[in-house]
Amino acid sequence: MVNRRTTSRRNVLRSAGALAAASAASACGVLPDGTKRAFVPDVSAAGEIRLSVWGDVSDAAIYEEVLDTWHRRQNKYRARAEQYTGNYYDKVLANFAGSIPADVIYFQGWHFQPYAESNVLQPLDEFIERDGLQARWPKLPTFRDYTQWRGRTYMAPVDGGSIVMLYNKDIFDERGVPYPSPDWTWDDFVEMVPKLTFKKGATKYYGFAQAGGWLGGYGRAVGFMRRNGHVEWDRIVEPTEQRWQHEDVVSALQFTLVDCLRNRWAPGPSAVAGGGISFATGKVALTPEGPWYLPNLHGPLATTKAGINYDVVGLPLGERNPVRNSWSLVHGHVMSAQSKNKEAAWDLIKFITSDEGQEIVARGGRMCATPANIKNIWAPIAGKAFNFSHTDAFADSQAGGVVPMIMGQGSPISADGGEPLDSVWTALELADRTAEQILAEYGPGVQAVLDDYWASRARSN
Amino acid sequence: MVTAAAGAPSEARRSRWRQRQAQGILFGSPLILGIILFWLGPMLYSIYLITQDWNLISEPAFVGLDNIRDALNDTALWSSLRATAYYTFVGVPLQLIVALALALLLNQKMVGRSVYRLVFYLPAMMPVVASAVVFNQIFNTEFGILNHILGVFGIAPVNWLFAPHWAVPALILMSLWFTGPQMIIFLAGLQGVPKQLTEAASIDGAGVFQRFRHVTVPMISPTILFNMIVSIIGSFQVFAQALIMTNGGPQGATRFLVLYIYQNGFEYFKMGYAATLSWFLFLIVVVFTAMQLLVSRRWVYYEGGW
Repeated sequence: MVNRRTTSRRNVLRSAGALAAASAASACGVLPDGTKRAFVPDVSAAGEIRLSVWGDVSDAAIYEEVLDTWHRRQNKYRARAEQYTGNYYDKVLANFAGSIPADVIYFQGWHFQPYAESNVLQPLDEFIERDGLQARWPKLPTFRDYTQWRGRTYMAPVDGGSIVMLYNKDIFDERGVPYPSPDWTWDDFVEMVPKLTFKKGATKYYGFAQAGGWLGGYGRAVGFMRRNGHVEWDRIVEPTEQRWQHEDVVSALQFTLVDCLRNRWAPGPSAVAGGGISFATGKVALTPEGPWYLPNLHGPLATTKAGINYDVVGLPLGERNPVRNSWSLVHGHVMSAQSKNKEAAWDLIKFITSDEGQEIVARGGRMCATPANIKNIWAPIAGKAFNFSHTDAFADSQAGGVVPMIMGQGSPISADGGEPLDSVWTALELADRTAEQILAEYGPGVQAVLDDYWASRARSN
Repeated sequence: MVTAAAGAPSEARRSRWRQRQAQGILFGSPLILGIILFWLGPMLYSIYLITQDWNLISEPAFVGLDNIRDALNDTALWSSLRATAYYTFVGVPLQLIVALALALLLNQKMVGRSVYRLVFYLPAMMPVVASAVVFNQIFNTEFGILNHILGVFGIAPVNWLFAPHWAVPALILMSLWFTGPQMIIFLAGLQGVPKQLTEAASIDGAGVFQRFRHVTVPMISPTILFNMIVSIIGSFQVFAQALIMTNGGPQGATRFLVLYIYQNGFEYFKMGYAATLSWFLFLIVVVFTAMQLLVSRRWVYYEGGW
């Protein structure tokens, strides 16, 4: 009898089963602090930290250069960037849920608070004090609200933006309307918009658009609503009371949405969605936008080949108590409390917020976060790259800007909107009722959201 | 001896049977494990979550029946249910009518029949995201082709996706684009209708409509029931198009139940509440399916009896 050395089916199955079991066993584990580790390699243990970055193309280039430079500047730590394209926060959340957050995580200043509330982020105060870096956190209410939660600092300001008014010089020239000056007022704005709306041949030009390429939303309107100093909440961080029925709020929304859409001084939802009518296509005279919109206006990524002949100015001052209250946005990095290499994470954060790091951020197309860095680092680069003059408008708006609102976990509303604020906006966009009627209808709903928020907190406590 | 001799082959057979069973289980284990880990496991965990307050970040906290109490007092949930019911009970009959009409047409003998079948099935193979982009343009108030066609008949432009009372009808219209699978199932049902029955009805003087009403419909009634159940379940789960095209708006008109569950879970970090709503949806679907099966005894004809 010949003993053939063939692999039997049973042996193959046994081997496959053993291999699968061994792989599963080796991939699972419990970290020293007791948190469960899922099926991922423990990169932190190998001395490399993970940095999660926003999903725009420009961010990939910025953080590649940031990490390259940081690696050249020191030999102690290594990091790799993870870019989450699309639904960034879903992926960040999934990482936390799976106990595998990156060591350093990018956040917008009004999104990290639920994580801080759940104690999964590392307060940075001790690091800041130890290294004497307080100057990188400007002593401005905006920066306090965006970087702290319940008195502790969690976020390092890295980049940002402030909403300013972009104006198309060609349209102003065509209509013989003087360009808006830095001290222009709400009344000037209201008077200007109808004059800047006209038809030339078959082409319609609009005096105003709520945003570049979309209809805007709550945060975009804050600068108009608060032009005389009234705030639509009793306080910015975790408000308890809504104050949306105030005349300034009503008149701001009545003009910028209802009147502009009803009179077709601004392109309607469908024209914006399907008609390609925006400031970047040269069909709109005035639009409030941030620095991220500038690549659409001049340079290789511009929407039109020739680009737009434009400049920028701060939002109009209030007619009674002139203040400029545009939405100032601050984004930055937080450190995961679970990080196994907090010194490395802090060193990276320190580098990104340093002048060298900020210059890389500015060169990559993002505006620096602090007014000083905007003026000294970003403005000279952006003014040349995007062909506009009044770079100070951005620094001033960032310095004097405001935060729409900050909420903790479980809130359906935030600076981005959310229900029922989104419904308020779609009702305003329909323009078939007055802003006063719409705000009277939705006011109780907005208050109910705040009441629910506080009721759920009382219950958890 | 006799017992041993008789038992030996039986023991060997049992051993072989056990081996085959073990091999079967081993080969089936990827699927079995997949079901346990990714379907049954999360399902059971979601039952546990009903009693928990969990934000995905920190440890779940026991809250008893608070989530159920919250659901019963949640006005947004009821408006979401109303929107879902509207989409389902208006949309599903229309989908079935369109699918059956297409199946009847494609069951006729004609040149290029297979091509037509393929063409009408193709939209079902298209990703919802791509279709949503296309339909966003079709429904555009100022530049959309739908309003352009309506304009030819003197009908004023409809604000399809931006007016609360038009948004759900717009999504229902869009759902008719995806009736390919129902159409194929109807087609299979129609091909199972015995020719001798329709021929006999013709000989007895039945016209086209009478043959359809009294022969075809009863014969395909199990197919109608199947399509109805599957379509109602699918409609209750409508999500992607509402997320992409309207994000639940305008003014909450298209915030269907699954979208509301998603928002609670992944936007408001209320996983316990989202799990409660998911089981609420499950119960609704089970009740409606059971009711349909119960009522079906009155109108569904099974040749072999039931």
